[in-house]
Amino acid sequence: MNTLKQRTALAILFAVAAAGVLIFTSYFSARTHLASPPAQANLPATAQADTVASIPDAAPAAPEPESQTKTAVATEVPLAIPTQPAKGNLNAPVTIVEFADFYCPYCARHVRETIPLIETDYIDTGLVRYEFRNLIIHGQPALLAAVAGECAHQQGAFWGFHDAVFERIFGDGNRSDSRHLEADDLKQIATQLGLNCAAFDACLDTYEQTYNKCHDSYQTCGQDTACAEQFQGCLENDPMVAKVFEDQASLSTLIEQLPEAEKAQAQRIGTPAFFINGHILIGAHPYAVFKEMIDTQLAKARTQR
Amino acid sequence: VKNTLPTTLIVALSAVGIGVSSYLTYSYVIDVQVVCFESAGCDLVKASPYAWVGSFPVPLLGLLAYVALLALSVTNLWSAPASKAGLTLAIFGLALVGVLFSAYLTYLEAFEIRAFCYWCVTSAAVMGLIFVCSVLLLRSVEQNSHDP
Repeated sequence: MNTLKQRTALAILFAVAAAGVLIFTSYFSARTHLASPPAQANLPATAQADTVASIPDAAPAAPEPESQTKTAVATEVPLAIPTQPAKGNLNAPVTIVEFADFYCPYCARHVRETIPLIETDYIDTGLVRYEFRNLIIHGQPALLAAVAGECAHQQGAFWGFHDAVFERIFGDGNRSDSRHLEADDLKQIATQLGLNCAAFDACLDTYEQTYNKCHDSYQTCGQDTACAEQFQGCLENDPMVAKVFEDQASLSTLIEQLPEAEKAQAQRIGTPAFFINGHILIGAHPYAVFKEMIDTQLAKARTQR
Repeated sequence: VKNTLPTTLIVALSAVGIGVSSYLTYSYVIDVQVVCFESAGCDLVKASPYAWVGSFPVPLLGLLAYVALLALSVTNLWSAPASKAGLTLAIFGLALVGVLFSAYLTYLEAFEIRAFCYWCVTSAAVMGLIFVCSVLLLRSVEQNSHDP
C-alpha cells in the first residue's frame, strides 16, 4: 500500500511538473508571438490573395520602458480624425473608431442591432463620437463598396449610404442573402438616397477606370507579391482608394498605441474591430459590452476633469 | 470489477474529448482564416496568441491527451490485475496534467482573452470529469490492494 501511495505522490509530482512545463511553454510562446510582427504574417496565403489591400505591418513590440510610456499616454492620443465619416460631437469624451468591411456579415449585424442603441444612448447625447474606417477583408467587391462609401462621404451622405449598402448586401441578416453589388447597384442606391448622381457616378467611374487600367497591367506582371504591391500602388492613383488605404494604414498606428495588455487581441485583427478611447474590442459584441466599455471611459473622463 | 465503472466512464469521456478536440484541431489547422469575427467566442480564442503552443495548436495537445487516455483506459479494462496499478497511475497522472492545463486555459479565456469558446469549455469539463473518475479509480485500486 505504501508503495502505491508513494507512487501516487510521485505521479502527482510528475503531473504537476509536466503541467508547469506546458503552462510555461504556452506562456512563453504567447509572449514570443506578441513580440513578432502581426497582421500579414498571420493571414494565410489564400486570404492574402483574396485581400485587395491587406493590413499594414505593425511594428514589433517596443522595448518595455518605451511601451510603458506609450501605454500611459494611450488614451490621450486623439483618436478622432475630423475628416472621417463620423456621427456625434468631435469633442465628445469618448471616441469609438470602427474598422469594417461592407461584406462582413458581423459588421452588418452590428449595424443592424448595436449602432442604433449606441446612437440613442450615447451619440445623440453628445457623449460619444462614432467614426468609421475601412478595413478591406473581402477583396475587390468590398473595395468597390468602400470607394462608393467615400464617394457618398464627399457629399456628406456617408451614413445613409452605409446603412443602405449593408441592407442591400445582407437583407434581413441571413448570410445566404448576401450578394455582390456592382457599380450600377451602388449608383442606384445613391440615386434612391437623393445624392448628386452626376458627381457620384463620376467618382465611381474614375475608380473603375483606374481599376481596369491597373488590372490590365497586373495580369501581365507575374502576379507575385511584388506584382500585388504594384497593383495596390497603381490603385492608389484613385483618390478614393487612397482614402480607403489611409484608413487601413491608421490601423497599425492605433494598434501601436494600445496598452501592452491589449496588444495580444490585435494580433489577428478582423472586422468589425473597434478602438474605444484607445482600447480595442474585436467582434460584433452585444450592446451590453459596448455600454460597459463606454461607461468605463466616461467615468475615467469625468475623474480626469 | 470495482474499477470497471470509472474506467468505462473514462473510455466514454475520452471518446467525447477526442470528438471535441478533433473538431477544434480541424478548425485551427484547416479553417485558420478568422477575418470576420463573431462576437466573443471561439474566433476570439482562436485568434489569441495563446491558441498555439509553438507550432502546435492547443486542441492538438488535448487530442493527443484524450487518445492516450482512451488507449490507457481501454487497456486497463482488459489488463491483468497486476498491471492495473501502473495503468491507473498513468491515467491519473495524465488526467491531472490535463485538468491543470485546462484550468490554466480557462483562466486565460476568462481573464486574458476575455472570451469563452464553448468547445474549449466543454473539453475542460470533460477533462475535469475524467480526473474525478481517475481519482475514483485510484481509490478502488488502493482498496483492492487492502483486500486480502
